[in-house]
Amino acid sequence: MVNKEYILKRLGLAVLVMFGVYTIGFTLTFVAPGNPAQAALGQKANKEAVEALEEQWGLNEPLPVQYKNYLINFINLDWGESFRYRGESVTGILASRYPKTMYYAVWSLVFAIVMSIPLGLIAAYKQNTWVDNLSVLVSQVGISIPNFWLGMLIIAILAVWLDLISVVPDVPTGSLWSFPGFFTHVTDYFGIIITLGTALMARNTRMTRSSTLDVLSEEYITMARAKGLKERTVVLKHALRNALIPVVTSIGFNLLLLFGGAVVVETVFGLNGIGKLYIDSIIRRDYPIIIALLLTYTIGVVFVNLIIDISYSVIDPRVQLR
Amino acid sequence: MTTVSETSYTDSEVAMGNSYEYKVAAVSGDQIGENSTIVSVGVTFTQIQNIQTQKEEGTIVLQWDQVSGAQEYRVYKDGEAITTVSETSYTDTDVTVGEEYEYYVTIVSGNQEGGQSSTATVLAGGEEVGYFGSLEVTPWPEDLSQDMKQYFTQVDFDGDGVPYVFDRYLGRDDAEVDFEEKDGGNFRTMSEELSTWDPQQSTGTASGWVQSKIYNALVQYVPGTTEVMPDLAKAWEVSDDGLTYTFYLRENVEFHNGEEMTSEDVKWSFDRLKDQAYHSPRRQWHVDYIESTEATDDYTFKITLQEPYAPFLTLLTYSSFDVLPKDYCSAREEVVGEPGNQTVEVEWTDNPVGTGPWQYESYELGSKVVLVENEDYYTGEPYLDKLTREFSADPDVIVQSFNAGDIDITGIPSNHWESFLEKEDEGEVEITEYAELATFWLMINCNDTRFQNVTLRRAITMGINRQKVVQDQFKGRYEVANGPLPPTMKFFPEGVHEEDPNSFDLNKSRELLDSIGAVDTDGDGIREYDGEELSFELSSYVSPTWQAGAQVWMSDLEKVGIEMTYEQYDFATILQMGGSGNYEMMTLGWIADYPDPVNFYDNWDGEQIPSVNWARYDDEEVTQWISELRTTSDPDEREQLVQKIEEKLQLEVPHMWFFHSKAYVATYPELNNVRAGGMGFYKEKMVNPWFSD
Repeated sequence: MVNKEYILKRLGLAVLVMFGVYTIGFTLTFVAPGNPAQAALGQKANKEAVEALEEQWGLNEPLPVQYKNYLINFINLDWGESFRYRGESVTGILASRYPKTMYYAVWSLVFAIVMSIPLGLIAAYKQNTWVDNLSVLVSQVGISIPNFWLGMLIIAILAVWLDLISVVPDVPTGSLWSFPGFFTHVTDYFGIIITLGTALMARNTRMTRSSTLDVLSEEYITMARAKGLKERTVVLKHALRNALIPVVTSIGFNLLLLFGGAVVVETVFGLNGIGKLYIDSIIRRDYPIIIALLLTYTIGVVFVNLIIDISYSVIDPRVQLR
Repeated sequence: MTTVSETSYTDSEVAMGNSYEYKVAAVSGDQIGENSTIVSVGVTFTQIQNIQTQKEEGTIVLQWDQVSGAQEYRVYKDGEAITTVSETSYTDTDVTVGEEYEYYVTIVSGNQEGGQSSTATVLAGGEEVGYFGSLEVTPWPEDLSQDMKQYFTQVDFDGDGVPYVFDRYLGRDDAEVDFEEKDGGNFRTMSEELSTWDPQQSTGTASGWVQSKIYNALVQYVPGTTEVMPDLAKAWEVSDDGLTYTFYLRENVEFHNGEEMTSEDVKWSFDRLKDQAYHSPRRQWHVDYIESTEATDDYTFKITLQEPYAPFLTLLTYSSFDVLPKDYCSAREEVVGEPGNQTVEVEWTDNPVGTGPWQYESYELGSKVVLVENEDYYTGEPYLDKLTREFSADPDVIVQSFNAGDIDITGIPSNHWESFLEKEDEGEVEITEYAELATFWLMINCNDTRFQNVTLRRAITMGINRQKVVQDQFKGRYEVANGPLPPTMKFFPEGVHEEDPNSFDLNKSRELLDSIGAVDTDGDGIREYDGEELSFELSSYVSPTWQAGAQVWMSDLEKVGIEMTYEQYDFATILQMGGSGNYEMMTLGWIADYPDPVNFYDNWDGEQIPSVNWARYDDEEVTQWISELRTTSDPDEREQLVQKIEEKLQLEVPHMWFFHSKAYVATYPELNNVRAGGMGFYKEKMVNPWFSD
């Protein structure tokens, strides 16, 4: 079972990881050429205005001081104001973006799982039949199609031609994570969910299929059948649970990959989520946002990894956490 | 008739139109001397001055200045005498709303008549043709000079055929507004997200779009042009020395929260712009030009300049001079920090309040902004009910959203140009083209010792084919730039750009290079100049246009023996390189903040190094001309100065001129009356546009 010592150890490690990420991220951000004050004020800003703004933002402080300040402020949950959106708090901006990205990421994951597990399972069970061939085709195509191209295709068909969805989902962010908004807005985000979920669905189908094939050839399956169990029980109780271990453990990792795909998908659909915020903030040299995104994302990664590791032991009691 | 001791006499008891005979004799005690010769004097009529008209529903009131000595006045309407009065005013109740009448007045003296006033043409007002918001609701400001009264009476700023003083719908399409039929609708757009609600912090078009809807300044552009017309100031006056601007404000203009706008608000807004604690990026415009401001009474606001600045009125159209509600804003912001290092915490930006035609309804960070019509707008409510703006900056997303019918307007990027032309042919969309006041260029670092040589700069310019790239990249949509100023700019001298003294000519380029001793001595195909290989880097921001151009130009220059390399940087880096002067040649452009040549010429003003003059071009003559241009208000003189500056810059190429961009916008045929132009779509106040069913 899960033991406390293990979790504490992992949390300690997490702090180290955060520290490392912050140091590297800070250095890359602050050492890169380009002046945030100049970027904010544009080409026509005069020198005094730029200098005044640099001072206001503390950019004239030595780098080690800024390094310390940003870290301390982050820990104190005082994340300051954005450079690009004047007067808007960093927390407010993140709060307006994270729900969107998380919303479609979760639904993409649901889409991928709901589609891939039955398909992979049946394909393995009925190996070399048309179902199997279909699953292989779907996963090959799904993996090969680049996100941005699929997104453009979906926009052209669903939004422009059939006029079923808006290109950019126009939904109040607040209602995404409410009931029944969580379910009703799936239609608004349909294009994005499919675009992002397809590759994941394809990968999962392939994984489910191959791991089910492995499991089905195990001796305990033969044993179960020999015991005279119903085929249904054999597949769903004995085979599926074991076949799913690699699939489930990769889901968490996949969720993180989805966040990576967010940059592309959000650009194609013009959605202002985390991915676009990241790119825009880098272009505009919006340091407070970059740092906050970097750290919150790292926290997310660390946390999800911890969950994954814990879930190993739940699904497979043989796994010992130390 | 009288006896006087002086040798002069003034007879005030004369009637105009009559003639009198006088003679004088000397008097000593009872003795009377010989009479002088008789002089005969005819008393001429003094012309009646300053005939003015006021309208109320169904009546027209005439007023004119008292003429001393005149007993009676005769009023003529459309050429016929209608009455004789002894006062200096007359109220005509026999008028039909919408009809136009001509009046003049004469002086009557016995059976003589004369001193005819000028003719006043009046459109009778009333329900159909209102005059709300125009000048005759309140009388002319007392201090306004005769010339300016004349000017404001006659001028028809927006060209709708209704003179300004009678133009209820100033800036709108016509006087007869069929409101019911056109009312309603939600106009949906998509653009980059705004970065600030505070007009004094705003520098870009994304923020400028909301500011132009929510706020008004003292003056504004005539929709679709770069001409200035009244906004919150109903009239103004400039002193002869060009230093004092007196603005007479409209009365009964309310902010969205119901408070009345007065000169206190204007004054406060100007002070706020100047206050260092606010760190406005446009603060310099106050500090550099304005000496002092004063609210002399509730509706009079005076600005005194440090020195005459010819384009001052156009400068005032920029959003940093928008009028904010003093009471509302000052209660919601606080200056913090130690003196010298102060900043301001502004808390009203979650509900900005202005006087504009649109008011704030909602803003969702990262999603969209919604504005609703201001029913009490001073020229009447907009036809549309709502404006929504979703945030997405990607041109392809915007085009696709337009194609899907999610939004009502889109810019047309070059890669979609042909498909839009097809749609236009099929009547699905309407395409509007309008000139932007913009020039894009390749900037040469004149601080680089090699590039201080004008001949070298010219040789390089002749060695690159700009025409070809503009043609290929923009499918002929943009205009090749032969000089710094966009030809649609005011005071642009006709024909000055027709010939480019440095047009593409490889042979001439080679000749010039030879003439300055830049020859290839080591046989590697690259000339040496000043002891070094003639090689430099063109730095550009990320853009397919510049990249394609660079490919062409690299091979062009190779042919004349110059090595050009090309590197792309992100925009923030380019800005830093430009500001610090750490580059050899780079790509940039300039889009006018306000429509005057001086806004462009900052780029070559020796005083503006390195603030704006990033090419670091320092020419005494040009700097002198630019400074003269700032203070000269005579249009002919200004045009002559512009001509001199243009010719010199064209010849000396501190920048290699590339193209003048134009905006191409597609809308659906249901949308009527969008008048964007001049300063761009973002400045359109959206009072006029309407949807047909």
